[in-house]
Amino acid sequence: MSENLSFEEAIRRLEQVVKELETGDLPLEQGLALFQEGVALTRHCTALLDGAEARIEQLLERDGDAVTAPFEPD
Amino acid sequence: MREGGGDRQLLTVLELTRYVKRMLDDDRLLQSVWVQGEISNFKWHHSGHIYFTLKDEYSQVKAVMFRSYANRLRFRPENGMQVIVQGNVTVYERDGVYQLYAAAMEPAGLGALHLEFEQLKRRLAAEGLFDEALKRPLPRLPRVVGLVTAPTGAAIRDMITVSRRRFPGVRLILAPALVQGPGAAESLVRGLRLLSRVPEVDVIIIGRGGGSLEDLWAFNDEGLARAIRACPVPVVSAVGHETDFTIADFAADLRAPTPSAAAELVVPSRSELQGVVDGLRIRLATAARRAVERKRVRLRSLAERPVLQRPQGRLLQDRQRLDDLARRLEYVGGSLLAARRRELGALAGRLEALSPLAVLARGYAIARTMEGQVVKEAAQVQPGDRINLLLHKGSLRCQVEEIGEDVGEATE
Repeated sequence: MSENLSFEEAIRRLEQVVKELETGDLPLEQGLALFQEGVALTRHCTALLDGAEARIEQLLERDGDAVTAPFEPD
Repeated sequence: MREGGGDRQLLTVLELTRYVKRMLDDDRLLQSVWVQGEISNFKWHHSGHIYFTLKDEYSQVKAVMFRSYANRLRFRPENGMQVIVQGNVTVYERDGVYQLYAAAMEPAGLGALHLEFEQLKRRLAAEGLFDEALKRPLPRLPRVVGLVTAPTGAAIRDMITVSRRRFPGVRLILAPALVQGPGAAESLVRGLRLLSRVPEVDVIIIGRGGGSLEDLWAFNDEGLARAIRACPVPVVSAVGHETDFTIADFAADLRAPTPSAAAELVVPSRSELQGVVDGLRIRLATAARRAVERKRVRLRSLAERPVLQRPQGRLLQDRQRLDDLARRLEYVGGSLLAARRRELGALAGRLEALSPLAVLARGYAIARTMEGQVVKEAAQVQPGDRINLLLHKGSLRCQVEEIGEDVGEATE
């Protein structure tokens, strides 16, 4: 599983994995691989939900380039 | 038409009038024209109809507005007033004169803006700029939300408050912009372009709080509409109040009635998304448990055959192991349903420990051919073949000496 999966991609793949496990009578190795992938995907999704650190910034133009600076609403 | 002498056609006055009338009625432009002029000879008839003349320096035209339209006027027309009138032109048969039949009328200052708005909207719509097919879906969990609005005021405050409430870890980047007055449209376009160059910005909200028609005018700019469509990520418009519609709203991928509503639409609720993940996690555990259950049932039915009822059979051990595994998975699955969200967090780790791989830790081995194919039946290999045995730790390379007739099927 790629670490760069977006939340949407991860959820979509997880849904697919669960469906396959639910419907198919898969050989042990295959079921095992799916199961492990599913566990990794749920971890990834939770990490995306928990991982982001709240940040509010503003874009300022400096010498034609855009730079970010912290922003505090008044 | 009656034939006159020679090649001349002789018409009655009514025939001539009707002929001209039909020509005017067939003309597409005259079916709906916008005319600006000054009101004179204004009369509000007791029937409710309005009669007046519309004139400029060089010409004049008679105009009528019937009661049903006149009732909808939001101002009182007077002589000398500059107005914009929308209506159709046709001939009044009795007098043989053409007239403007007005359906709508506005004072010229405001009316000019309105006309400009309608014409731009129609032109861009005809071009396909507002097509539903162009609308992009919003990301489920944007990494960063871009905001193009004024850095002070209620709009930005509301958007920040709502975003933080829905997703405490939200990341916002503001591109401060002028939202009214000269240069506002260009400033909004610049903000959009700057934000679209920030790599993690997955969606952009552009908007401002409520104001007068003139205050919101920057959002009726053609350049801004095109910049919205050219933006590489979806754009949500949030201009003014519920009832205000702007060109930017039509061009945007989604229109929000207010800035707060835009934040609600764009920033996902963290707890809702957590619920989705938890739901899938439970289904995953349940599906894994059922898969083990199916194997167990199969194993039991094999074990119950009399010929296999020998205690020294490997089968009995296998059954015990599988029972044990299934019991533990069931336990985890059951507690899962009852567990609260916090407990679910630790679950993935526990499930992993119970996964069929752990069976290897209890002495199972998986046999594979040198090509990596899993050996499930003795018939798959020949004496002398080399196979690989995957153990809990490490693997063994073995050579097959003899093909036996053991009850190997049950170990699958």
